[in-house]
Amino acid sequence: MRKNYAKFLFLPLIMIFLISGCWNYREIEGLAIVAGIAVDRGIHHKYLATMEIIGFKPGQESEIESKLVSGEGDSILEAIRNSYNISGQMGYFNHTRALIISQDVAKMGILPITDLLFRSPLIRVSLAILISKEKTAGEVLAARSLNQPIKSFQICEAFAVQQKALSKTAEIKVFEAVNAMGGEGTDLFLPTVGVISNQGQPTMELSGMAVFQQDKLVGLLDGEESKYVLFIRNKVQEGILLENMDREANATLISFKILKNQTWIKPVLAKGKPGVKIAVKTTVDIWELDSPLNYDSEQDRKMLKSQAEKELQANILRIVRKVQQNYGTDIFGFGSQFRSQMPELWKEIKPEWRDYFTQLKVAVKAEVEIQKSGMAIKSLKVED
Amino acid sequence: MILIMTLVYGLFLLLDFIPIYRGKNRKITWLYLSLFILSYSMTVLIGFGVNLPSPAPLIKSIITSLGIF
Amino acid sequence: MPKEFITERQGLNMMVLFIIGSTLVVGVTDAAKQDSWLSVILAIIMALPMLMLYARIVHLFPGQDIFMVIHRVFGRIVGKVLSLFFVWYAFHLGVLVIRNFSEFLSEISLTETPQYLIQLVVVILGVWMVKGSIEVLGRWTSFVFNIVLVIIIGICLMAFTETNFANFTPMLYGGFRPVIDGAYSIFSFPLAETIIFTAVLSFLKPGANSYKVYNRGLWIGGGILLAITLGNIGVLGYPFLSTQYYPSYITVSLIDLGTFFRRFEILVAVVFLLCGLVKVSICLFCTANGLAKIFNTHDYRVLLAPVALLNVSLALFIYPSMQAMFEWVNVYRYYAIPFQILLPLLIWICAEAKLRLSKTGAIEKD
Repeated sequence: MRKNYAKFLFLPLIMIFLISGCWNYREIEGLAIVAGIAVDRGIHHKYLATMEIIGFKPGQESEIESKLVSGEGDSILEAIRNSYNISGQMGYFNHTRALIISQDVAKMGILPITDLLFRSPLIRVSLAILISKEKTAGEVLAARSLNQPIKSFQICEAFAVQQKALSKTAEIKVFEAVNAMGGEGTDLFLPTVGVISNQGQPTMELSGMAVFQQDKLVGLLDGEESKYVLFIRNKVQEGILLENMDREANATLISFKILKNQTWIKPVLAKGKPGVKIAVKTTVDIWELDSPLNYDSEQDRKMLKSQAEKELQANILRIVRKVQQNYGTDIFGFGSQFRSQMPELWKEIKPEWRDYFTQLKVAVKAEVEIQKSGMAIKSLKVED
Repeated sequence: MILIMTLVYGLFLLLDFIPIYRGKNRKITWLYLSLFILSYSMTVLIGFGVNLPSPAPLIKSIITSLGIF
Repeated sequence: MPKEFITERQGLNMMVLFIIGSTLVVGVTDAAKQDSWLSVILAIIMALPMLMLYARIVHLFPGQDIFMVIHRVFGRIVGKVLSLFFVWYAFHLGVLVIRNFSEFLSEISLTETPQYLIQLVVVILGVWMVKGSIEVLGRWTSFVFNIVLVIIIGICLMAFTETNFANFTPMLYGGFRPVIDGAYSIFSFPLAETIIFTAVLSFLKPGANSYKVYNRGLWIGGGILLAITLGNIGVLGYPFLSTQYYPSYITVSLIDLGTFFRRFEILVAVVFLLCGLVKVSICLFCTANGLAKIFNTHDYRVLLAPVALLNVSLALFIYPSMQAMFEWVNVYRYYAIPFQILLPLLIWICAEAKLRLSKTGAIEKD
């Protein structure tokens, strides 16, 4: 009997400590849910981190609003932590979707940032990294967004649109960025985001890409150039292809809608020198013609096809040349193709790959297959 | 921390040890108690912030000295 | 005490969960980088004869566990010393698993909870289960096994949608050496750890086949390891994969099916909890059983609680940090040689010899 007494006295004590609940807790009011982070050069310290926080407007219908808070520090973590001072809330990073880096910071190197991202157990590696085209990264978050109250989420939606309609830039997630920076024979490119005027108000806009050498920014490409980079990287899904045609002294601009695209890169060894063969196969529809000329006879269609192929080839070659001459970084991943297809050769040329890359002979073979011309039989001939 | 440890150990004594003690098997009782006290003293020492020597580096040094690495 | 039994199926389920237990989250070694999956296949082939040897030991003396076998083969004094070796190995393995367990949980979700509490909860559950008898563990494992299998198959299928096949090229870029190196690591952790089962499978129902349990357990467990490794490489790719301690967790966190089916990574944690519990319980069982045999008592259950508490105490300070824990993996592969290869070989040879001799002796007597 006495034993049982002791047991019963003891059990409540145990319960108090072990069964009563959790070790610690976080109140949702005390958390600042961070949707996006912008990293800039600070004035007093090395970094200035601006965080977009999802705020809840009090009221009958709870509305979501975006709040910005920033802090400075000599490391990014310190900058983020210093901003807690201002907001009085701890940041919660599990829902962070976008990280925008200013060009100044990117020129110093983004390695510390990516390290923080893949080291932290809270931040997801599916977070998108972007480079700001503006002077600072913070002003992108300060710009207006149209559909989503939260600007960082708007950026992610814009990525989805890019993939479906434009292919002028592509989302790069943390782990892809790490693989590109740390992988052999491939360099990093990141999408860029800027601010443009929409209805007189500054609004964020996604387009173009930033080119990196190792982890340092070396240059920016605009949206049109980025599209051809994506062609080479086989990342084009859907988009528009504009072709200028000269026929019977009529300059015609034709808009093709890209239905699907497949790119093959084949490393070759020609006369002892490494080279690359790029084969592009694109299926397109004609969606817009700006001249009364028609392309309905077989001969015309053939000509159209060959012209389109030529122009696509020229455009791809142009961007390859530009990157080779201006930046000398292998954002196309040619080196990694050598590595996976000709590993023996790659081991030889790997130490001097940067030199090889700038001298690399690149041949492009494009095949454009024109499938349909929409619902129109022919374009309208304007009569008097 | 030490409080919780002590509570847990106390609970084990109460629920687990008393039936064994009543089983009147001397050998088991002593074995139980010695293991019990050993682990309790270790946890208490750790709770007080004493750095106990871990066996891991020892094993590691033995293996390294064998020259396999 | 009535004799406890587990069925062949329960034994198999235990073994599979035991094999994938810690490896599921820690991931297999990345010595061979994108060829790690080749290492897994090679490791399974390497482990096959070894596991057959373990099965042979169980088969030779039906109904007797490894400690009894050692005792019978080597006599009292030597037998006790060798048994002590095995007890230490089982004990140490339990410590490692518990520490792995609590490190993972405290890293992903319970960041501020002291690891001691996490370890304690796991161990108390394990003690409770094994105290109920090995049958309870067997039945529970059979129940959990289906859940685990469904989750893992689901995860692997979904990971397939995110796979980038370029991550697997080039094959054998670093040559065969790292592949073999990695294969041995996988052999020692986790495949050959099933030596512990020589103490469990003695509870198989009479007439059950220990070879079958080992053989199927190896193929199913190894197959799951292979699938997980393929998924990790395919989704994440190198060199990102080598920066991560818990690759499977990251892989699953990347799975995005539409907007609703995402954030599955907690499933990885759940599977790890279930498998880890099985692994801890089996290690506890083996340690307590061995200790009981060394001290000539037959009821291992009374020793479970102090062994478990000792386990936790050691798990608290065996590594100073997480980095040390992962560094230990490199030491472990050599440390485990005597327990996984040398001792079983010795026991097997002596056991065979002893059985042959006593048989011929018996015939001569007739």
